[in-house]
Amino acid sequence: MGNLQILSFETSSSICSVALDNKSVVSQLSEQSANRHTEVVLGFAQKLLDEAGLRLSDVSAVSWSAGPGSFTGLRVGASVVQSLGFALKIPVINVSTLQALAQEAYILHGIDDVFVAMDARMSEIYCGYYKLGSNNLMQPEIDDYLVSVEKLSIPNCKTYIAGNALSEYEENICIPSNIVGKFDDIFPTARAVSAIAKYKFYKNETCDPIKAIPNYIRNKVV
Amino acid sequence: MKVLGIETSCDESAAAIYCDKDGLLSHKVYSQTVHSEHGGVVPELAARDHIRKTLGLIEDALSEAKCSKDDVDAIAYTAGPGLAGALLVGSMMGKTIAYAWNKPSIAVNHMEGHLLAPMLEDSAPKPPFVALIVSGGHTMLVDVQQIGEYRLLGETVDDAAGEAFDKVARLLNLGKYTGSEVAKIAELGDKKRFKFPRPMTKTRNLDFSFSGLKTKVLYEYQSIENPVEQDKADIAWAFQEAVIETLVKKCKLALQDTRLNALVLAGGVGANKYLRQRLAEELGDNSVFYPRIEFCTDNAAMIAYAGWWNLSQGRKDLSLAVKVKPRWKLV
Amino acid sequence: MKILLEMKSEVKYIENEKETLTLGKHISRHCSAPFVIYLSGELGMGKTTLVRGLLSGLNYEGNVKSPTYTIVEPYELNNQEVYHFDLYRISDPEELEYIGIKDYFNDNSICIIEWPEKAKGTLPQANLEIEIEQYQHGRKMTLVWKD
Repeated sequence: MGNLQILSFETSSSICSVALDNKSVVSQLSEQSANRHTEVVLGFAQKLLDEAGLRLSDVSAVSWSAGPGSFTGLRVGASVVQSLGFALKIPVINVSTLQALAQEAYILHGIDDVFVAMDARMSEIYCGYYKLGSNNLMQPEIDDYLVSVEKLSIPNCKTYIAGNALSEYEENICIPSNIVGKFDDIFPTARAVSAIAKYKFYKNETCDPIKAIPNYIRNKVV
Repeated sequence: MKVLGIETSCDESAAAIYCDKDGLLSHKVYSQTVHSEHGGVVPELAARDHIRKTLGLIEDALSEAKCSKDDVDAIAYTAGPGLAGALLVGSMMGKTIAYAWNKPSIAVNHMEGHLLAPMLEDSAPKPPFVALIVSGGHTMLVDVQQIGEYRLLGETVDDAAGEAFDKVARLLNLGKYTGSEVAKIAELGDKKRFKFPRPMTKTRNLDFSFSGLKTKVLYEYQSIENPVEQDKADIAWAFQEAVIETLVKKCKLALQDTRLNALVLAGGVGANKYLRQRLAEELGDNSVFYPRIEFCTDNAAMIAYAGWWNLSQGRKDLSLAVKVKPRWKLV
Repeated sequence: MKILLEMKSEVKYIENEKETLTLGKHISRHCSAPFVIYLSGELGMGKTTLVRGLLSGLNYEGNVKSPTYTIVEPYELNNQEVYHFDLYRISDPEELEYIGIKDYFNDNSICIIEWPEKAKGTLPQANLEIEIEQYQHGRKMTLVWKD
């Protein structure tokens, strides 16, 4: 258990981040890089390895934020982990982007119950509902889904809301009275992906590299 | 030296291994079918299919060539021109595998790949020659003094020839709206019924224009009450004839101007049987070189070859940054 | 006397390619960056020809290629930029974000957009909407100026 090294990638939003879990010491590099993910992502990985005194061949598994999110961003992540998994003969771990966002809310603010709402553009929102489970990991209460802004219904219970849909559609979203707090500035990060991935790795929830396919949720694109 | 080539610039995912000693060791292509109902390649659907298929093709190409990581000397990938989202998949994969295997990578220009495709054949042309690259996105005549030394002789001023075929398929409401359907139905056409103009053939310049032909097709088609398949076939033939005669005339002119005597035909429209036949008739069998059909359409064999050639010239990339170039110009 | 109108609409009847080019030139005199044109019309209606006329009115005499394959064709002129878009194959506005569409709409650019409905919500309002339809053997061009 002590010798595990996981490299994690989060490329689903305008922020590109990469994290390295080296025997449970997690380091991360990130950048607000809009359309430049392809230019920075591998460099981040190498820099993290250099700083930890590791080589790429020491990595035991790769994980990534598999969606929903920016279609192009997700394909940057998928291309990277498919290729690393294949070339290094190591398994890949797919992590929900919304779960990673919920986990980041926990890392930043200790939130243990959160409704996640990410802007999906075109007046739609990716939603998920997460609660803290065992091992300090946020676990889904329901499947992630896509909904139009008008049809968004936030559970009226003592929960937090997190995600950029809050500021993007501020005027159109009605926040129920029981909501305890909201965070519109939390984005999914590679370190959050990494935390979830490690747990999944031990539970053998890994996949062949070729199965690292984005979960777009929005499947009707034409 | 062995090079793995990866191609995902449009609607074909492909991987291949080229060896400078033994030639092409393997090549795998998957042609996407998701676009058929949409009247042209939908960029988002293309990118989604590439991410599902490309890695499997890479694995197959390597195993068929009996190559492992240690046998591969470099990885070549198409970086442009093409659809940004589609290019991204193959480019990112190529660069990442190169990174993981600690090998150099080479960003290949897709058009250079097409231009070099005939080099994969036993009867490969020897430069200098003139190349006609004609596909869905491009129509250009290039003076190739030697590999890597290109001069643009002429190109389309509006629609590419392949694009004109695709649009005519849409206008005539043919099957899956692909240019090859126009060629197919044209075979049944009456050769005398319509005659369309040969655009820009009265000047000596080597540019092409195919946009106006669409309008001619539209007019003829609309002037027919209740058109039947035969009417479509007659129009398709006249259209194809106009495009092909224009291409042939300009090729002859280009050979005259450059005083060269070999012509290389490349690109997707190069698979058009009638174009091949007409070029051979007009220029003589010995002066026209074209790759087999499967190397006319998009493939990775030509990318692996172009990658090997660039590598042999000392060009390689050890950086970790990937930059796709959707509008990368060959010359 | 000055008449102020919020929207001005004109209809032009065009006989041939030459007149299309002339109309394009005429339109160009009323376009100064920033300017956005929506251009609608079926295949073969002469959209590219109109754009060629417009560009020649702005003193550009080079090739005007169809943007169907590349999605956007840029033209760098002396003091402004012209971008010609064909959004026919765009299925999600995100694709436009990725080609950096926001950068194209700047104070120094004239943007001509075919199939603008494919990118609803992502595009700025048009200053001019042009619709080309067939009319007998020529074309009917409806120009709606919005200012």
